[in-house]
Amino acid sequence: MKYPYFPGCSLRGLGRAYEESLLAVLHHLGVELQELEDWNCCGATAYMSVDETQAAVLASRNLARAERAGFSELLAPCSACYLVLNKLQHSIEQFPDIQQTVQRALAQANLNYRGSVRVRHPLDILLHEIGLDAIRERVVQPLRGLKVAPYYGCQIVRPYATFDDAHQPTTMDQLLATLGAEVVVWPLKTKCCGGTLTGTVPEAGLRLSYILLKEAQRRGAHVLATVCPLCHFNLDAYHAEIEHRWGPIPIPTVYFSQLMGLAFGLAPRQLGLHRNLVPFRFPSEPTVACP
Amino acid sequence: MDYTPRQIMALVRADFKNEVLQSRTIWLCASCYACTVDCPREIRITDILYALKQRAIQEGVYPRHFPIPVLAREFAAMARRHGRITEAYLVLKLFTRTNWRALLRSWRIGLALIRTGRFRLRPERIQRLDELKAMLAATASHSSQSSFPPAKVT
Ligand code: SF4
Repeated sequence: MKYPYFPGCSLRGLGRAYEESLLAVLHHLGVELQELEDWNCCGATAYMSVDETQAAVLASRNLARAERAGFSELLAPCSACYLVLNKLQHSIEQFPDIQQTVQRALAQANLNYRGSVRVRHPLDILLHEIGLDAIRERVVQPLRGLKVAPYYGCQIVRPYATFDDAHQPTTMDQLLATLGAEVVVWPLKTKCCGGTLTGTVPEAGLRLSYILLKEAQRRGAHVLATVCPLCHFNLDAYHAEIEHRWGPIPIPTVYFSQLMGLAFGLAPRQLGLHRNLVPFRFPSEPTVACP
Repeated sequence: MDYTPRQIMALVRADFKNEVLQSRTIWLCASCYACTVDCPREIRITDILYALKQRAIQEGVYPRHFPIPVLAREFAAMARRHGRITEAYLVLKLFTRTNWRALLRSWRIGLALIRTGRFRLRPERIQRLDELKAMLAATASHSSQSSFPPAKVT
């Protein structure tokens, strides 16, 4: 199996470990990714705040390039990229004037978009294409005894619940259970981490991240599993600042793909676990501690 | 937050343009879409707040030293200029434009991110920048079409 792949800026920077671990586990499952050539920034939430038309045009170059490369799907692991590309696809289908504007701009670059690319998320591919059975077969070190809080965040299930429920998503729960982990009941699955507010208005942003960690702690979780580079950044890089404000909460945050890799017996370094600022260790034995 | 999101919706409908466009509330929306999927009247609150942010920037009435619109504008400028975002430079830009002290307070995080290879210092850019520039240049500013209140408010 081979999937067209849109990494996005974060997976080349703050979210490197997400790319490293995702590529490693997919490879392990016999899936290779083919990177979209010369992709550009999706625009995220920031561009949309400045100019809606330009934001659509910016993102459209990626879908047009994907279509021209003959791709009918595009895997977008970052939550912001996933939503922006998905939203654009929806807008083009729904609003003729947006489609016209986009086409006019694309024509300037000798590009064209017929609207045939389906944007997909790794959880969607893992559960609905590869399947839990194939994943279970690869588990050599079940994550027994590890209590995980599954954190979906906002933009992969809202506003378009394409592959999971908007209020009670379960795809990651099922995946983690397949790895042998204990999924804790944690009602904050889709609550906001604060996004970029942690940097711009820390009083507001950090509090949201703090609430996630605190509730995970109260529910007995050892670790938070995330799907988003921005959530990971807030919960991991600002962890010290959160503890400074509200007291100790010894809970690391890792990507779900890193937990998959560990269960598959892959080396922590290969999964980018050494890039965490809050080190992840198994509850009892320190076997997966990173240098 | 100077108004609640509900108050913003009501102010928009009652045509309190300046109050809305100059408010900090619209910028505090993190675009998590929780309200959009839960609104019983199916008001697309997140998208309306986006439209208000765009309008505030267009008219130059956003709160000047409030870091959120500054970040949005710097982000857009970098995406336009290079086609990609290099996070380290974006953060640096944001702090130098808004709050030097925050930069000094965050040096520890910055160093840790460099040490773990997550703050990359080589600027990212796409190869076919002229392609992107031509596309954006062909995108007429939508200021002529925009109305207040935004058409999406029902
Ligand atoms: S999208 Fe999220 S942050 Fe924005 S107004 Fe709605 S609930 Fe609040």
